[in-house]
Amino acid sequence: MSHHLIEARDLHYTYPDGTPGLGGVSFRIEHGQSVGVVGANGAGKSTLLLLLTGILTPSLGEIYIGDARLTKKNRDRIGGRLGMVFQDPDDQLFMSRVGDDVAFGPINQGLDPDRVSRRVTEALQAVGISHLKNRPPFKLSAGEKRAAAIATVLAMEPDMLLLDEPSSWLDPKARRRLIKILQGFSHTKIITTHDLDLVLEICQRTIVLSRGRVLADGPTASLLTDRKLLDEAGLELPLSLHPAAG
Amino acid sequence: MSSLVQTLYELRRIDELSRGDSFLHRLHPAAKLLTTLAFLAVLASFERHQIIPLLPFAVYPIALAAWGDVPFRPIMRRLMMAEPLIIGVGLLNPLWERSAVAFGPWQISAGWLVFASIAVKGSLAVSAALALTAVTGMDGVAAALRAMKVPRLMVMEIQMTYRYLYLLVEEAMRTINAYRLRAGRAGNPKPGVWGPMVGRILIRTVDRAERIHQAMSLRERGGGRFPGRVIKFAWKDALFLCGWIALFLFLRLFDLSSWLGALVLGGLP
Repeated sequence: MSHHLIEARDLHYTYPDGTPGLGGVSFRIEHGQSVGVVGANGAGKSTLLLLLTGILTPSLGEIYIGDARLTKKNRDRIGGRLGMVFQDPDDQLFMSRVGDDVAFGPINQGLDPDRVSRRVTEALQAVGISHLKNRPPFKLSAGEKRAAAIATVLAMEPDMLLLDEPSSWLDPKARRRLIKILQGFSHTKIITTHDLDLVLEICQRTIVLSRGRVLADGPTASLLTDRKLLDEAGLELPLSLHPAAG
Repeated sequence: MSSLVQTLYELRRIDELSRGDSFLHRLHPAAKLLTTLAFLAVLASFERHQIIPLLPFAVYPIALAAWGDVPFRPIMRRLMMAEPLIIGVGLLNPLWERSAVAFGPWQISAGWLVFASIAVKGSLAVSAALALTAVTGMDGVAAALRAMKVPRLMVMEIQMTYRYLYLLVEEAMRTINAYRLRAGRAGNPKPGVWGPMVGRILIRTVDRAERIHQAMSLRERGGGRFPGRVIKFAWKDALFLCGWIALFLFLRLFDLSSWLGALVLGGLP
C-alpha cells in the first residue's frame, strides 16, 4: 500500500465545550491526488485537518495514513508524513530568520547539518524565496510569508501536503504565484479553502463539507458547477464561473 | 505612534541588531553570556551602600555597544523603560534606613546611599543585558544556554516566553487600535474598558499561542531541537571571557574611582 494514501473512516469530533466539530466523515485519498475541501464557516474544515495531523484525536472513527492507523502513540512518527501549512503564516513562522524556521523541521527529524542545509536550500528554491533566507519573517510581505510557511513544511519532505486557507490575505499576484507553486508539486494535497477558484485550478477532486458531514465528494468540475449543492453548503459558484464573468 | 507600537519596534530593533557582523557578533554566544553573568555576579558582590566603586563597571556595557556597532539610543530607550522598576525596587530604602552617614563632605541618610547603589547596579545590569541581547540575539542566548547544558525544556521555555511577549504586544496593539478608531475623541481606553479589554487580549493571545504551538509541534514531533549556528568555542572566545573576568576582579578588588580621584586631586602618597 502506498505511504501517500490517507483514509478517514467515520470520523467524529466534539470540542471539549460541547461544540460539534465533525459528525461522521469518511473518505479515501489516493497517491498524488489534489483534493479541495470546501464548506461554509464552521463546516469542520480546519477541525478535519487538525484530526488528520494528529493534533486532535477523534471522539470516534479512525484515520489511516498508508497502511498504519493514526494513534496517540504513533502520531509523531506517522503524522510526520503529513506537512501542514497553517492559515496564518505568522502562526507558523516563529524563529528570527526564515532560514532557521525552514531548518527547524529537518533538525528535529534528526538530520545531520549538511542535509539540513541542503533541505533548506531546496525548499527555499522550490517556493522562489532563496534571497529571503536571512530575513526576519516579520519583515516579509503576506505572499512571501506564505511561501516561507510552505517552505518550512517542504523542507521536511512530507508525503502529503495539507493547506488551510492558503490564499487568504494574498493579493492577486501573490495568489497567482501560490497557485503556480502548488501546481508544481506532485505531492498528495488536501486544501481547505473558501477560494473555489483556487480549487478549480489545482484540485481534480472536491469534498464538500456541511455541518461536520460530507455533503458531496467527486470531481471538482462537476461539484463546483452544481448551484443547488453549493447553495445547500452555504457556498456560491466560483467567480470564474459566475455568469457576470462572461 | 502609540507607546505599544514603539515598544514593539524597539523589541524588534534590538533583535535585528543581533544580526550584525562585528567581531563581537562572531564570538561564541556562551562566551558573551558567561562574561555577562560574571559581570552581574561581581556587581551583586558589592556592599549595599557602595556607589563610587561601581562606576568603572560602566565600561562593560559601553564596550559591548561600541565594539558591536550598537547605536546607544535604542539601548538607552529600553533602559529608560526599565528605570521606573529599578527605582521602585530601591525607593523604600530611604524610609527604612534613616541613620546618617558621611558622603564626602555631606551627611546623608544611609537609605539614600542604598537607593543610589541599587539604581546604579540595576542600570548597569539592565544595560549589560540589553547590550548582550543586541550583540547575541535571543536565539544566540538560547544557543549559549544549550551549550552550557541548561535543560532543553528550560531553554525552549525562555525562547517561547520571548515569542509570547511579541504576541502579547501585537494583540494589544490591534485591540487598542480598533478601540481608538471607534472611540473618536475619547482617545485612550477609559478605566472601565480596561478590564474586558485586557481579558480579551489575553484570550486572543492564548488562542494564538496555541496555534503557534500546534504549528511548531507538527514540525518538532518530539525532537526538541532548535536551529542555531553551531560554532566552536575558540581561543578568541576564551580570551574575551578571561580578559573581562580579570578586569571585573581588578575593579572589584581595587577602587579605581577613588584612586583616580586621589590622583587628580593630588592626594596620592
